[in-house]
Amino acid sequence: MARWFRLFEKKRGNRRTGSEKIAGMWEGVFFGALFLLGCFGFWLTISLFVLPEWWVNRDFRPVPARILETRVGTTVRDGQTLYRPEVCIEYKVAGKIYRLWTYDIHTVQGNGFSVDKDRVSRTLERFHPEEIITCWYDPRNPEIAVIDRGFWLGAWLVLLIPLSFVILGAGGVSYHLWRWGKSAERLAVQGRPLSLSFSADPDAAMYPFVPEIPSRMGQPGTHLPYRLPVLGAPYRAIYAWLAAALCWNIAVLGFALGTYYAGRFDWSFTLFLLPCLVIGLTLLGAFFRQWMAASAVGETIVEISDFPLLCGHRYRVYLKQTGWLRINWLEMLLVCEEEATFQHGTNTRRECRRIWQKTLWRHERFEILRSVPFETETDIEIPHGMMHSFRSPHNEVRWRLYVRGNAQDWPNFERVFPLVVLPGPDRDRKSDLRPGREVVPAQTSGNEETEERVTPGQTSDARP
Amino acid sequence: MRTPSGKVENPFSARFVRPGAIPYIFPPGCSLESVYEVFLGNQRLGAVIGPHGAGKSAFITALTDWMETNNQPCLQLELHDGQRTLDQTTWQQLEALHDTVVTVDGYEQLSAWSRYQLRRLCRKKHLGLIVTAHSDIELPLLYAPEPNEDLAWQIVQYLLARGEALITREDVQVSFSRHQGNLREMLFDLYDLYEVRRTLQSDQSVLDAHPQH
Amino acid sequence: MTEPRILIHFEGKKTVYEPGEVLSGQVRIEPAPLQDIKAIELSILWYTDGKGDQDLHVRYFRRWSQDGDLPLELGEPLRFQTVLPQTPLSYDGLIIRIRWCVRVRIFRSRGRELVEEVPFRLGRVAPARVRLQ
Repeated sequence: MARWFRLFEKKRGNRRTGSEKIAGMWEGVFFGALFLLGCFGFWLTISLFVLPEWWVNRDFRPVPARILETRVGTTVRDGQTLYRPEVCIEYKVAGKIYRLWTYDIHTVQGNGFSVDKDRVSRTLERFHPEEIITCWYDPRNPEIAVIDRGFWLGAWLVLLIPLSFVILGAGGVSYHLWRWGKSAERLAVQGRPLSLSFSADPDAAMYPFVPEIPSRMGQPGTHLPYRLPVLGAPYRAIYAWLAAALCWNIAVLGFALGTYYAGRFDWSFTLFLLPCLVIGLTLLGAFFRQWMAASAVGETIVEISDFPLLCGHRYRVYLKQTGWLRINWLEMLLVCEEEATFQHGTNTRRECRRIWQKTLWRHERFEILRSVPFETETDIEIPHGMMHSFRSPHNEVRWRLYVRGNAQDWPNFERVFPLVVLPGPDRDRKSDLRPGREVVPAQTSGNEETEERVTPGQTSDARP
Repeated sequence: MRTPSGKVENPFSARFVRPGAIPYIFPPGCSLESVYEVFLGNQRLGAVIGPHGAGKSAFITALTDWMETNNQPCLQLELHDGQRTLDQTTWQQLEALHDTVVTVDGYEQLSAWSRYQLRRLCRKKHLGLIVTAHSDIELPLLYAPEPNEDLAWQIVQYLLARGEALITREDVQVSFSRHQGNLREMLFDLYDLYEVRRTLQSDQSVLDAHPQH
Repeated sequence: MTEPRILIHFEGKKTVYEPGEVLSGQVRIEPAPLQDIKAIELSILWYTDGKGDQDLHVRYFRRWSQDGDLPLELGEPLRFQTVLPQTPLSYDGLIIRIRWCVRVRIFRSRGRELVEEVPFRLGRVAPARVRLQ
């Protein structure tokens, strides 16, 4: 367990107890406590603020009332004097006359106090003795009545705090319950991020040290048999910006409300607050921009005719790009990369090299409409003699499909789709052998153009 | 893999350049023995200070190997990825030590509290402590590696003995200068250069052997 | 006393194998007999080389020892045989290489241990050359 709760930092190093189970249990307890605290806070906020106001607005009935007197109610809590507006009214319900001191539902409940006496006084200036106003009474208990039914928006903001605890706690508990008692191999199969289960016996596998087929491949395609999962969905960035914007703005708002509510109006504080507000607005703006970009760019769906792939074999690939964009260019690439990880001294360094790349197609200057997504099909071939997918603890050879594009008024976007390529069956390569080399990379037949099928209504080189 | 001539394919591969794979080269007047004397004089405390890629990890590995050869038990700890504290197993291991020198590669990554705990434990158990850091810390300076072009060339020559003479002194000067004295980055750079030249040499020899192709 | 030599022979004198093929051969220690040999270990393994930290996996392992379950019969060749896996294939990449080999290690009662390694290729993957189209 980390000493400090880190919001944005990944846990590094090895801080667990000797037993993973016990560590996991304590983490589960921590998240459980967080969840319970959040639930309690949520219930408290709802029951003290939100529900009473909602109840007043929904169930209370209006009746004319005569103001008899007004005063500033006071109380002392923790050595501090607090104030609230109190109005004495008289009203008649079912022939019976009622007389009581009231203002809003919080006053009736014995709350509604604040430190701001001036604000309370200004509130009372609206009410004059002998004036006839409307009050709202509880039909089930006419002795309860209010003259102000407004909602306190601050309650909804305050609600966000226990809600975040509930979400965090529930998420943590669920995660630990899901993990509990499962072996590393089982976790790997059940959709953890693509990672080879090193504790399993690789010799028992049919293709040792080939990355496992992504569990999300279970979803069938609608056009071709297999739908490829996408790596690093843009939603992470959106959630990150949203979290940052929410946390920052809630903190600033809470701080500001607390200061102004206390009547401690201070120019220096306001000057400090202004840049905080600018930062908050910037974060919100960044979130909205990411969200709009993701909404505008839409979903990128790639399907393939077979999976996993074999070297030397040809496959059909289908792309569907949704959104609402004026595309400057859109392309799909088939890529093979090497990645080597090494630890030198105290740093872990990762180097990636692209060793093979083929642009499958590229379209320029066309529109994607909400009702008419862009669709295209093409053939891909993993050349014979290329290296298959491989992953060991520090070294990886991987195959991927990249869909990249640029749209008017939006930044470049990129979607990455992992492939698993297995070694293909050997074939007689003697005619291609050059002296001094054992193998020559196989090429496609020399025809670099691939057949493309485009949906009706769009040309293969669509222009606005 | 060794080629039929007994040479390795690329002498700049990670396994040949990792800390401890290359014998540590000291400047004139300095040696493992003299450094150890300084260590003893500092009440068995010392810090190896230097910038990235200066050879701190290589030095500490060489010193540890020398101490163990001379019957001084050592425990090597290596911190990675901003590791802020030591795990429970390591603390238990340290508690059980006697008359041992503890080396910590990446000491400055530990939190102030962890560093204090470690120093206190070493004091209590009379353990020696040698650490690496990029800037001055609370331990006395033991050694400060300062790589230069001559040293870089000596290291490269040592590595090239396993392979082909495909890297020149000018290459080393250019790479050392480009990476501002970071030997680690320089060696990675030379891996790529060696690989390109080896491939070109191989292609050329094929063409020479079969000119009709 | 001359240093012993480790001679590793592949059956059929092959150096390139296909996935799923049987790799078999024998190991001879010369000169024989050698009284000071405590044990001999034979491994068929692959390892990576290049710019990344080395990864290694032993596909087949056998140990002969004087005091173990498999007593050494000095003078007789030591035979080995295994079915090679489908992956990983031998590979010459830009920053990653995958190498297969048969490695023999001799442990002696006097003197340092001896190691000999003979590489072989699994599969026919072409050396990587950067091709960006």
